Amino acid sequence: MCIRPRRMVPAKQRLRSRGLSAFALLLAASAAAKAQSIDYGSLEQLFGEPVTTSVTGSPQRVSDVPATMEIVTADEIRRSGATDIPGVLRHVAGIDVLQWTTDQADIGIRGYDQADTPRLLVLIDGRQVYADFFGFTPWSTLPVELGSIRQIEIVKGPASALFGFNAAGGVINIVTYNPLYDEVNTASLVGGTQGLAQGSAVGTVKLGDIGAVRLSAGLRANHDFSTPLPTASLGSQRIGQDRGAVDVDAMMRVADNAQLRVEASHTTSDQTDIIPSYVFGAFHYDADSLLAQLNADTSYGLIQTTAYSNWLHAMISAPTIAGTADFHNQVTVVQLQDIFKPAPDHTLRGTIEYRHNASNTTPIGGADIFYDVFSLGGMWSWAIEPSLSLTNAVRLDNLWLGRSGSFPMGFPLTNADWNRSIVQPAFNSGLVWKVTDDDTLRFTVGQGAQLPSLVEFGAILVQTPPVAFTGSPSLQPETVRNYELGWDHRLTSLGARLRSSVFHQESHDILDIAGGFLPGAVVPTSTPINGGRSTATGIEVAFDGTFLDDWRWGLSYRLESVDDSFPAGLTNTSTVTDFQHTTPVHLVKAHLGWSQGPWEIDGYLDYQSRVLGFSSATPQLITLVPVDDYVTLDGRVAYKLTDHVTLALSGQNLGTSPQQQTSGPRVQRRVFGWINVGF
Amino acid sequence: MSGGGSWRRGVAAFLAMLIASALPAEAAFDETNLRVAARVLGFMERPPSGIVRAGIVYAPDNPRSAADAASLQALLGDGLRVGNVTLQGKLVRINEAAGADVALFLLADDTGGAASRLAEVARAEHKPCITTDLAQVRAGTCAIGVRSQPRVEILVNSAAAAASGVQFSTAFRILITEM
Repeated sequence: MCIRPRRMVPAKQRLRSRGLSAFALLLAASAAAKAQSIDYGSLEQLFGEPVTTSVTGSPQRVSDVPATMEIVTADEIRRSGATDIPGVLRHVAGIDVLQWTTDQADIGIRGYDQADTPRLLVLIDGRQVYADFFGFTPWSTLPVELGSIRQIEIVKGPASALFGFNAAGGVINIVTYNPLYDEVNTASLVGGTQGLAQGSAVGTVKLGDIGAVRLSAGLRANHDFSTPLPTASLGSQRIGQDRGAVDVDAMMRVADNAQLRVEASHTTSDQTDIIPSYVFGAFHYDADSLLAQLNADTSYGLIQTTAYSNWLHAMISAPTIAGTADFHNQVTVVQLQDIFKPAPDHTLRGTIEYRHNASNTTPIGGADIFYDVFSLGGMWSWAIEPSLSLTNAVRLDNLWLGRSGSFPMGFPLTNADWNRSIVQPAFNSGLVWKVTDDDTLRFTVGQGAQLPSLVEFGAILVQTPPVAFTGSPSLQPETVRNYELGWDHRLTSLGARLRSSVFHQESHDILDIAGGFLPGAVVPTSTPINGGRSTATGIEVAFDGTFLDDWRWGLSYRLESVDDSFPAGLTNTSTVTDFQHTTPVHLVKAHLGWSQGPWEIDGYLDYQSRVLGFSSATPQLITLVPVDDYVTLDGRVAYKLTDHVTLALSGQNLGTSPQQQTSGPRVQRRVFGWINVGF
Repeated sequence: MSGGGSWRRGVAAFLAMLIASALPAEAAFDETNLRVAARVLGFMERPPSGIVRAGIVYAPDNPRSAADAASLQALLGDGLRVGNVTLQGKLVRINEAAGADVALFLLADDTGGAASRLAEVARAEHKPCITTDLAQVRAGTCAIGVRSQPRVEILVNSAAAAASGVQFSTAFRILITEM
């Protein structure tokens, strides 16, 4: 399938050429040799806490960021006993998880979680891995092994002023080890229930003074839970779930003050999964990526130029799709960023970005849906006093939508209907006040936007009665505005800390993937619509700490109330939008861990209050069904056999099994046996 | 009854710990500070590596300054290894700092106004000066100040740093406090 390269390439080449020329000048202008990229490990050792760039784009200590965020460290990833990233995230304060199958879960921040949830932007080292065709994150396609992750950064609330579209409810940035600074050589073998067999390896090769390369690869095979699929999914058959991934990440010193990063990855996976209309189907993915990034520390600041392309091929067979949907989605991004400190109390960041995104139409082919986005962004951080800082960030995204190709006979739209532009502003402001050495207050306001997915813009095209649906060219981005007051307190004598926040979030022009009808269509055709608003108000309180040298603990609670307001008569019976009843009011997560000598033991107890969830009674009738409150118990016991070998046993859903955790099939107990080798 | 009393004592102890945790901790020059100082060196434009001789500069006529210097020397012992650097200490009287065979200066506490002499030496010999006495950094007599409690803070006097030829990476500068 051709994805309109003629439209993308000239602009990309122009930008690349101009960007490289500018870089050459900047490098030449820089007289001094400086360390040029962010050495997360050394900075964490220096400051005694993780450093992140995921909130403002510039490096910050996690205790200074003008946002509520969580950082999951490599130690916490290991101790989670999870075999994949959703398994790690399920224990993080304020995170919602819908575990549909063994290999796919939808992750939400502060509720609003749904099938193929679009409100969470996921990146690896700043490269988007969010899949734009449906607008979600297929976790199995991420070309990252757990052993190559330094930390997972979770930003709660909109972060579109830095990341642009789709950072509406939050951002997860997965930061991997930098081969230049971090020598990681690990391998793990896992076997377990559901026929799980998984192998994973990460290795670092130093190339003398030139640079270093990190190689990682993983293979996984298992079968899905054996509990029944919903009635409407009976046409689907569960398939064997497989994943294979390889990633090469090279960092090279190209000058005293500059580093070049080149990364390439390939992932293939098969899995049973859910589509946004809450029907299960068989998914096959092939995902490829290629990235080049130049970092230079110059007298003009820390300059970063990034160019990458993601290619995602998704084949989906589900009862509501006549035949097989065969998406080829390509996104190409070129970014130029400069971070500099013109005065001791001021840090500035400027960004220019170009993005091209395209997908073919399917299962009725013959056309492409695409858009180009030019973006300008800026950030200003002002240390008003040593204890008081103000950060403001703005971004303007200009999107040009288009469609080329043919239509089915009698289709009531033309390609010209897609010729439109969208101008979308985003902002984040944050005031951080260190009231005492142990108390920090944060007041933040942010506005983000969720762009309609390519499917919602028309990449899906089904015209087989009685099931007919497609996208709409007239959709608007859904906007999310968040107001938040946070208080962090360090309980030094208890070896603990408290993180808390009160938030109020307003979502407008809510996107509903199947809420409307296509006017003038010969076959009654469902389309997405914008309609209504939703507000969420909540409190998050999280404690964590250590005691008696060997023990660690964590306890978090989220109370959230969501109020939806949708205009009557706008939606058809296929609507899948209800955040008020699908977001749990109460969410509690507790953790207790102990380490001594070669032993490491961790337990996790999570509680979610009763919710409703969407379920397809038939492909045309989607209803809300109750999901009672539930408690899950996960755990891990590990014994370090030698300095290089660790044996572990971990499990998920160790209590009640099978257990209804979503409106989908009940999940079952999972137990994993591990052999980890590190050298 | 005894159960209720135990419960109240527990609450009282908990509240006492909360109040204690809210009190500011007192800064002190200790091994943690030294480690922070050594790690700061790694973010300099030309980071030193291997054995680095640090001149522990003190005011000999001030017993408290001399005691602090001796304490520092004891902490460094035969050498304190942090990352790529092994810091070795050498006691240096402040009036003998010029020409001392050291790569950097660690300024002991309570040197008072005598420290201004060290500032001249640091500028002339392009050697970094690190101290836990943040007043000396604010006064411009020492370029780099560190503290580790209640959290790590690094204060750099940009003018003093530039004068003594000390430059840091942009990412590091963004993370610290400059003046």
